[in-house]
Amino acid sequence: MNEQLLRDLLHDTADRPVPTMFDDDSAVDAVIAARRVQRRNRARALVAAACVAVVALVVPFVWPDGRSTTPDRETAGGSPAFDWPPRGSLADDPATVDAVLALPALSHGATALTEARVAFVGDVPGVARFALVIGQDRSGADAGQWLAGPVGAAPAALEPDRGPEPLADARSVSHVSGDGTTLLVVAAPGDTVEVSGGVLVETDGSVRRDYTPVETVDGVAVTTLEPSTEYGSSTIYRVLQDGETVDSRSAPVPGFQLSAVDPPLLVPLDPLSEPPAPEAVEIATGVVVAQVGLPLDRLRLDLVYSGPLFGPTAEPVDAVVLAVTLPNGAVVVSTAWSDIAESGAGTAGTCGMQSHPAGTPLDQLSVAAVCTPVETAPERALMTYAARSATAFEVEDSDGHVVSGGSPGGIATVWPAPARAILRVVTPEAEIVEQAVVDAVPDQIVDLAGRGVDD
Amino acid sequence: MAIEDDAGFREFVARQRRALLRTAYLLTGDHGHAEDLVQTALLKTYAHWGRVSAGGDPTAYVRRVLVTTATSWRRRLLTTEQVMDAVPDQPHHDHYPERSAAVIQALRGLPPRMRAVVVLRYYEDRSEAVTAELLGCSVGTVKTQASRAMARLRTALADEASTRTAEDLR
Repeated sequence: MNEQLLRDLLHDTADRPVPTMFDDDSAVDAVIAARRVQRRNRARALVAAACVAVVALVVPFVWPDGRSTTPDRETAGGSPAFDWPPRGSLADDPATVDAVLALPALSHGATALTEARVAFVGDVPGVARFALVIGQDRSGADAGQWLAGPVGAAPAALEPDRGPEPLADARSVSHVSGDGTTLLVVAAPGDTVEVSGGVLVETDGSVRRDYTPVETVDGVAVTTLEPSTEYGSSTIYRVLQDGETVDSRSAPVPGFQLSAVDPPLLVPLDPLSEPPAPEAVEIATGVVVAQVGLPLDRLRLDLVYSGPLFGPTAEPVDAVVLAVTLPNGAVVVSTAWSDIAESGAGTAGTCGMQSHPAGTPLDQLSVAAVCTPVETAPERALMTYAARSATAFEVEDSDGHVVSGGSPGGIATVWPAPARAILRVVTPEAEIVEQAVVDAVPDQIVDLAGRGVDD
Repeated sequence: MAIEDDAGFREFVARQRRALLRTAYLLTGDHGHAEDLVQTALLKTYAHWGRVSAGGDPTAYVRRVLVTTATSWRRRLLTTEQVMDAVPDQPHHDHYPERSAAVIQALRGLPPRMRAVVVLRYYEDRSEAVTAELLGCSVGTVKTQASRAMARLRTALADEASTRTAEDLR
């Protein structure tokens, strides 16, 4: 085989059509939405409602009468959604339902569905007319497609609002209005919905989420949303059946809300620091903002340290230790790394977040975290930054062995990271302070004992 | 990000996404991973869109990100790779689907950076210098990787009768 033959083979292979979930527009929408929520993505924390208000008056208009909770057709797919009856103020109008199912967008292109049926169609007064159609997408997977238009719009005028979303075993399907103000959740009849606006960090450093019940009629809930932060919304809703949580999801974020913000320009407090990598600062900032749901102008940011995080073999990555002081004085320490070339290519990630009680002096902040700087790490790394004011520190693994320690100064690393370690810091007063090692679970703030909102 | 910037990004995606998907398919050997990879590259590009678009053609930037991300996905792909579906689900003029499947399998047998060298050099027809720049390595490394890749692909594809040509059999 010569080079020309290899070229021909590669072109023949690559020119095969690539089946995609998204068309170009949907791909952009997904990028924009992902950017918005990327710092809070996988976590499924729960509860709280400070930023969510129930639109109690809206619900009766959307669901003017009680409806049967009996499924009206045989299950078309494996998703529980196929067992749901159609709901919404227009669900009893066969002409409307037929017109929705006849929309060309559901027959062609990326939004096409087979075995389609209407799960919801109705108006949210003052907001929009929505329809949710479920079926199988081009890959044969169960999927839901939202359509939207102005209140009172002819069904034929409804247009796809973002691409189809996989249903899999989802127990709820949700949508946020185009202006980002209203969340619509469709769940099984009889289920109830609660919403949490963000993680609450108390003055003692403990963390939790509070949930507020949303009026749910026939398994459908509508709530208003507070504006999302520069780094996305921290709103999570959960679905309860007989009092037990059966589903918990981040509220979807419409694309327009994403705004790529420049990372704050911060000067490191630790004189041993090197100039910070903007991408690492941005990650460290964004993960906290996206969790607590507060805008940047209500937070105080202090860059405690920035410098190299060394790997076992490769070049170091840039790491930062950021202190985010909340309005109540509690402090969240956020660590992050980045490995960005001058060209702009590269990767970055979080090493987790840990909360401290209000009033903790910044020069007394220490952190030990386990994370994976993927470009350099064959294994997860334990990174430790000891407070400038400390006289010594040590990290002890679960067998009681000291795996790291010494005098403060930069970031100490251990590869691979030990399991269930604990950080001890010796203060100038010869006091020994213990704190949990942070396991960099994305989107989770833990307290000094290692407890998160679900613990 | 300003609305006009979003419009510019949308236009850029419409112009480049198909080509990115093809390259990503060769880099990953899997349609799903290819779309994930492109989405990731677009997300990273979008995050710096103001700077990227102001600096000229964003194409080079997104391709760098694509390749860098692909090579850094090694561990993930090793644990999640699946045998690709050889049957396309759209009309297609591939007269040798078995051959394409064999090519993909052979590519997936290469280490990620070696695979990237092959794709950049022989699919995108990048020069050795540009390939080296995109991968952040020396030209010498590209030469070595390309040579080794050719040898491995020759062996991997030797058993595929559908890939042979009269020239190869001489």
